[in-house]
Amino acid sequence: MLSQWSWIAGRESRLPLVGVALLMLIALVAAACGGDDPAPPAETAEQPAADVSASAEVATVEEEEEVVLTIAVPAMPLGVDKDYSFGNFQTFESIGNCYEAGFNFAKIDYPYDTPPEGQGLQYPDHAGEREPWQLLSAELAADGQSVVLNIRPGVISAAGNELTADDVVWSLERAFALEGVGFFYVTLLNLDPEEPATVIDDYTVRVNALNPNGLLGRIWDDLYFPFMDSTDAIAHATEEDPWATEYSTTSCAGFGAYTIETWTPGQEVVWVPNPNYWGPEPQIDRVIYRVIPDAAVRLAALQRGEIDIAQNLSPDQQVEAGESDGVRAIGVRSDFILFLYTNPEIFEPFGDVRVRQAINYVMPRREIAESVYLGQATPWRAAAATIFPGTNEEFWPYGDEPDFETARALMVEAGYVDGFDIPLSYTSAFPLWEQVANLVARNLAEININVALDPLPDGDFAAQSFERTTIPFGLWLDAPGGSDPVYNLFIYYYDRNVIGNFSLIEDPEVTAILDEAIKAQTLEDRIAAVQPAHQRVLENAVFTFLVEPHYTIAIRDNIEGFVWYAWQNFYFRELRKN
Amino acid sequence: MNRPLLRYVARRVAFLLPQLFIVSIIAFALLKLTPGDPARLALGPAATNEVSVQAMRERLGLDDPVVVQYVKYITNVVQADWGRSFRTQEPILEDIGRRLPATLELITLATLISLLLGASIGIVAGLRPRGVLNRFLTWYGFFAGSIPDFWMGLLLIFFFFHLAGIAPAPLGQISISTAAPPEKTYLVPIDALIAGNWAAFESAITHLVLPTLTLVLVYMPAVLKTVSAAVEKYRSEPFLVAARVHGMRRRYVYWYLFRNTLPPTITIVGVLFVFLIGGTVLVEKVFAWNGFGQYAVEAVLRKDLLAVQGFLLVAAAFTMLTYLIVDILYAVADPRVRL
Repeated sequence: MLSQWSWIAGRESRLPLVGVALLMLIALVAAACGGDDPAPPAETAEQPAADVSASAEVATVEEEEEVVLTIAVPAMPLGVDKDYSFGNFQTFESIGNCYEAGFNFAKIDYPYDTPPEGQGLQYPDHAGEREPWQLLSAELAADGQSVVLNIRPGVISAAGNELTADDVVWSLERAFALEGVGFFYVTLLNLDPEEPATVIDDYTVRVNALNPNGLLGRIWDDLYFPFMDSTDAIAHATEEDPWATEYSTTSCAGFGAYTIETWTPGQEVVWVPNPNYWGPEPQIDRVIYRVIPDAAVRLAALQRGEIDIAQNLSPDQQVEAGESDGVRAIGVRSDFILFLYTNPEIFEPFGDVRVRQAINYVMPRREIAESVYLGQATPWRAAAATIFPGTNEEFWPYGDEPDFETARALMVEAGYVDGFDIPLSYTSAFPLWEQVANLVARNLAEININVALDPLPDGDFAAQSFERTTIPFGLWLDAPGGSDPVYNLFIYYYDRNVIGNFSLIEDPEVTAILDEAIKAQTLEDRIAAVQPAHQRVLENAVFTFLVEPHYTIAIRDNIEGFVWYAWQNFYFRELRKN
Repeated sequence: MNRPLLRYVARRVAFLLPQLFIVSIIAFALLKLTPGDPARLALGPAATNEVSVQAMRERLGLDDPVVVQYVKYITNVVQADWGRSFRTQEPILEDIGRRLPATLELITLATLISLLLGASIGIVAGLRPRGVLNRFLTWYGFFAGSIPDFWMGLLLIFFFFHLAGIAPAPLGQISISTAAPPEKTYLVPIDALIAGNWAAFESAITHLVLPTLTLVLVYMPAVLKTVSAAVEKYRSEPFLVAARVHGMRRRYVYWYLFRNTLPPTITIVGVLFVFLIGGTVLVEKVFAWNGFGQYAVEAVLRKDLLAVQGFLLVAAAFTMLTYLIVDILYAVADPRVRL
């Protein structure tokens, strides 16, 4: 039968079909070859040094050309509403560049020996003086219960409105009304909800608290406590949305150096300079945030010079970036803290401090820093982020390496000689955390704590962690953002209700210490006042302290002026593209 | 169109709405059963106290009984108000309207090319079951079946963009340096044509190449094997032998053979098309395509319930419509099928 019908597949009939197929394939590949504008590799993009006249011409053209900075990001910012938008690096950067703060940190040379990728950079001086940005001064009253803010005249938004005392009042009232991120700050400061601020004149305003609070004089450098352009926001408010939340989610109603030109959901945000900016004119004419979800593609695009900055690379990709021509891998000590929360209200053995201490004793901190983070983290040996003033390692009780003997003794003492079984939950969004969880589980097995790894979808893990009613043992990455010594302890340990107390463990003595410390007006007094709290938190093992991951980012080597700030952000206005 | 076919189509279309209604109930119930409070998630670390959480809960309508929530939801859906995503802060319908065309563009092109190439090569291979081509295709089928689509995408990016530098950067549907055309259809090449922006058109077309090629290379073997197997089966059927021995012209014999391979081809293409609507998510991610599948997965991972519900409704409607079209085409291709 086959031979009978072999003519159907004869040469004369087969060729055209195969030919068509091949032609289509060739056309497809040919189309790929006509890629629209792949950038040449960085080294070939430079002008030949010999051709001086041509170089001069090009330089003239370049002077007139728009300077565009392209940043590849894993996700869109969640918005630029200071009260509602909170979540990823891109959101923090957006908030910072749109609004800017009243003050900024003075900058110093990078003060740490590690990591090498941080050397040569500028770094915020968290213990030093503040540079006046939108505010010229913040004068704390003698009773510590109010502060007078002197606004810099001539701070004008992209919409053309000048920052005045009315904007300060409106911003604080908005924080109370919306009960979002800003609400956290106004309650932290214990501002008067009836009259949070009083206008003295156009450029002077008094902010009123119900109790003495030293933070009143310091909080104005915080990226998440900025002033909105109330005139612009009110112009876009509606009856249903009197605080213009819809408008300010994707439009910049701030006084910062940059404003949003276009916002394409899921795809990109384009920033342009605020034409009315009070400060020095930024060099970058346009900043494009392009969402590139895959980290490998972000890295490849950076290596080929298609983009200028790649964010959120994994440690191994960061290493690869550092070894690539034309790319600089940046890494600096940051306020990231990675810890395990242990909730005794869900799992009773965690109520025993000896169990929590035992867990702390066996943690492989150095191994996590070196083998999981590839040196892009530092073992955490304190109760708060160690880069901030007032935090030091002198109270650290758990040693440098895992101490199984002491841990076993504590478990026996606590009555858990046979240990227990416990699931360890973490987000499945970061493969890195699986490795951390594995190392944690391996060491806990040595003291008969049998850990079942419990990776959860990111949303579920986050929602359940915030709820604090279902996950007894979770791996959490956090960053306090603010540099104040009281604030740094307050948000994690003040009582069981504070934002960062995922363990739900409270210590009345720590609460009392912080109640007193918050009234101290000078940095030195505040640092001194919180020291006993540091010690108690560590001894109480409120968390299982693991490592402080570094902030990492990869940039083309023609970008200068990069400065990291504590909200894991940087300001476009400080960058320069050569 | 004959009468029974018309009746069949009318009946299927009439069933679409109740089916969608049931899908909406199931989706709503399942999402309600998943743990975690969406209000806390929407607030994130801003969930500083119960007052904030409660305010958000009221804002999202989560305080009402589940039945009331569903009735409110479905009433709004009918009125084209599908809610707002707390993740993107955009209305769900706008989100879907922006992302669905991007995915449809990609999968339609990939399916069409898979059909044309797969059918062409499959016919040739089917006619020579023991030929070199068929043996090669069998191995290619195994190879393609064992390579995840995203991995194929990464390989293509590595070779064509990273090493050879001849493909555009996989940075979405259009080059960063090219001004995007005004959004009208949300199909970038079409929008570029409407705007007369040839640079954008060229950029959009070249950006389509690698993701399309990825899908074609991975999913075409399914079409190819189906066609090849059908040809192999029908080529020795008595009706074709009879046609030949009765002296029928060669092109008619081909036509009969082709006609008989149509029903299984239509089925596999339909299944492939429906699969790809959500199945391209990893390819979309690798190429930063910002498509529908990517949107759905992000919504699921972030527990963006309204967005997930919107995705499920659209995906269900899309699946039903595609299968309806497949059934109709099947009936047209094979008159023996009774509807």
